[in-house]
Amino acid sequence: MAEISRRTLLSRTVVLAGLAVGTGLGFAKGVRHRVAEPPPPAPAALTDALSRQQRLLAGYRAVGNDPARPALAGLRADVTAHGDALQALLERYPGWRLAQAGRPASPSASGSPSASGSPGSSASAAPVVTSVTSLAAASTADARALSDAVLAWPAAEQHAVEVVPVLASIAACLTSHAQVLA
Amino acid sequence: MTGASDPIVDGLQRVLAAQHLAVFGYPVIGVHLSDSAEVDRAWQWEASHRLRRDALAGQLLGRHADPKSAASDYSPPAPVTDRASALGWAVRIEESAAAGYRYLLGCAVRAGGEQSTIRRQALAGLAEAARAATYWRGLASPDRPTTPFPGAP
Repeated sequence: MAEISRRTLLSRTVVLAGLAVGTGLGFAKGVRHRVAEPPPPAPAALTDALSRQQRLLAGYRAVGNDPARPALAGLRADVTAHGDALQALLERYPGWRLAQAGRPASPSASGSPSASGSPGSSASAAPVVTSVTSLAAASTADARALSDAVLAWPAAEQHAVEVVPVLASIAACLTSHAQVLA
Repeated sequence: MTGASDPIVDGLQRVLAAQHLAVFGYPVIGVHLSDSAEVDRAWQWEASHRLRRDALAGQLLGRHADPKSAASDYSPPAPVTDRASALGWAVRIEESAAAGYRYLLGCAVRAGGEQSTIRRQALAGLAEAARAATYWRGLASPDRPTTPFPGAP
């Protein structure tokens, strides 16, 4: 049996004691696992705006083309462009992207007339309009809803500088649509 | 008086510049219109822009900023020689006003806080400019009287 010096014995004892204390503390400490929290959902005003856009687009498709109203196709193209812009804004929110990834088929802004809006949205429950008069009324109502969103949007919200001007432009556009359809 | 660091002042100056352009441009446009309804509209909007210009100057003074003066001359994008070119310039004038108001809205957001009065002013101005542009555009091309994002760069 090999002999060891007193100094070596002492140092090994100190190391072992340190390890024991460390291990003990490790077991005594509460373990907190990092659980992935889902990102917050996109602002309701934005998902509501997309739902309204989809209803309006469905309305334009239901009304179809009217030779007496040559502007209809252009107005419909505007509404389609609004949907694309709203989708692009929503893509900035991880909560929206996550929700879309979990869906079997995400509703596209320029999608089918039956595409539904966001779950729980008041706009998605509204019936699809089927006359030019109803389109005008829906455009006015949507412009008002967007204007309310512009006024209420918190300046400190992370994407406010990008979102607010786009919503305002869409509101102004829909106001001019109501003028054309009147 | 400067107010250069105030984003709201910056936005109001931009809108004011657009109003100066409109007040200069509408009389030129009116000369080339013959339909009484169109002439009436041109007068109406000229008066509206004049009122807005004066109100904006007052607003800027209230914020201790010097309202920018009108330029001595404004050049239309193309020579205004007939009804078609006059309509084209009217559209450009209103698009310029819409761009100013949309910019003001962005300034209001950047300034922080609610800025509800400025936001309302910008929204109303943007909508009014979009309506006016739609009217003039519709006379020139009835099948495409609107644009999807009024005021967008």
